[in-house]
Amino acid sequence: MPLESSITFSDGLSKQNDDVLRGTFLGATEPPAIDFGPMEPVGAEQVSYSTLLASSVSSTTDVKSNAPIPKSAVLPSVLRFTARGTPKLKTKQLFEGTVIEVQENGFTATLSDKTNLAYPDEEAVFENTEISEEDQLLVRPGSSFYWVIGHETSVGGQITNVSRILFRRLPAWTSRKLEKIAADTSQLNTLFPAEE
Amino acid sequence: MNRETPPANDEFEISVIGPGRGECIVLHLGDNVWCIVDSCVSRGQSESVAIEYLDGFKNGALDGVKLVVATHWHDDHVRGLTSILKRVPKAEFYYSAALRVPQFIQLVRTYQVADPAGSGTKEFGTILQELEKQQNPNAQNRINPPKQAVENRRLLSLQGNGRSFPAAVTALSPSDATHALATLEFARLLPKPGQSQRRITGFEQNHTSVVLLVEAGPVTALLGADLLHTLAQNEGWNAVLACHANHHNQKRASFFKVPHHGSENADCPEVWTRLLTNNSIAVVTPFVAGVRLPKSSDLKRIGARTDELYCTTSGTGTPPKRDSVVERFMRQQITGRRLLEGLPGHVRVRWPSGQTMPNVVERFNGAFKVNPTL
Repeated sequence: MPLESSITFSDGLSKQNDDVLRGTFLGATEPPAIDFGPMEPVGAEQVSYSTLLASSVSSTTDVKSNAPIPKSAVLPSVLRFTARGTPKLKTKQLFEGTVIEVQENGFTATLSDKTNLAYPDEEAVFENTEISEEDQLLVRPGSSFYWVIGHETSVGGQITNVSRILFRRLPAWTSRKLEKIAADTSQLNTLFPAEE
Repeated sequence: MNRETPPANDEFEISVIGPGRGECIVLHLGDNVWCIVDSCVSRGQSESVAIEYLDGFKNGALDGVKLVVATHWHDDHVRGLTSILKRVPKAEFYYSAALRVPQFIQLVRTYQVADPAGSGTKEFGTILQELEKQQNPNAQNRINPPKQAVENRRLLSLQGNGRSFPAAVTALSPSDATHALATLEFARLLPKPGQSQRRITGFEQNHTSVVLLVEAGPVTALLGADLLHTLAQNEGWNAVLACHANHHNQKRASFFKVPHHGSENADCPEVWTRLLTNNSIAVVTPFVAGVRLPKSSDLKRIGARTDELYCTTSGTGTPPKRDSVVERFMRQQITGRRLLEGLPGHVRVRWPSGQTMPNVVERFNGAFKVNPTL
């Protein structure tokens, strides 16, 4: 969805400004999440108002069609999200873990390799400092988690290696569900014949 | 002799296979008749080690499997069991009678619904699915309806003139008292409304285990499963001792699959004096997940009772190498790690026809004889 914004154009937009806006300049630490639309040249030979209006940019400025844009004019500009949601994570390794024992400062878990299914399960010891405070409440024998290792590409294209341990938040058992299982079970008992 | 060499028709064989988590026992009862007790899988495999072993003979040994026994329900004893039942659908399948309680079936179904990927009931859940499929009249490869193993029940009897030697497999447990206990414990494992969904991690119902007495010609073997020893007279090894005294008093086993990975709480000294011969062959299958078994003190204790103590594996090896970034994060974020499965360590004993002593105890894939001096 195009966004509206304002920016002051100067005569002959410099390459540097262009880079800044697109987040490609050397040393950029956090590129913008929004990319401006195609930079049309501004000034006497620049885009016509009709073009801008056709781009669904709403403006309260009363302008005449085809009139030249005055120098240093403040114009609404078409903005588009380039993020298209969130940064992208490419998974190199996925483990499914199950907590088997909780210690004072950490826990022991079995790890099942979901990336290389032929690899054997492992047992690993984690310290609580590796788990977010929020997730530490979920660390109990039997609780399960995913451990994702991969690289994340930010919206601006930066690549960072990441490792995240995310505990699953499974719903609590409900009476209704348990009653349904119990009813189901009474039929299953017939699969295991009673003593002859 | 290499591992792929099948036994002679008149040889009795006991193979104990253990990759570090779980165990599987394969018995040759003569004339290409086989019995499989429990199941485990080798690293990266989905089928039981028993299938891999018997297929390796290339003589149709799998077709000769007449009896499959699941001694109890824990994953380390039943993983891959469904693969066996599918391959040998005509074999009799016995499970512990203590599992024939509605609470156990309910437990299996509950975790099948909630989290089919990862709980101790997964394998039984898969068996349940197979049995459900068979309700369809067009189902193929129907597996035999499961039967219950209970103390003093004969599960297989091979007699007759055409046989190389007579053979029989008899359950010495679980006792009737265990049945009631199991009902209570399974009920305790069932989730309650409002509880968060979690996997089952505590495996304490070892007293539901099926202990087997195997008679093959002049040789007798005792397979201890994971049965524990308690003070209660009508449970665990005390109940087995009573059953043996009442019905099988003349039988002394010269082979012993040591119960529960050699743990101290499964150790009943009277078993060694009343059920076993002097210096019987004993085999321990290690368990590397959680509390590691056997401890060195366990091996010392058992090693003091026999010079013929064997262990199926000494370790599970080193973890496979992964991507360097993955390895780096693993080094940073975990303070200890170990593999839960290695190669299927294997102790094999074959008794020549009519003999009470084997020629040799073979060891494969890292299995070893425990040094009694330690």
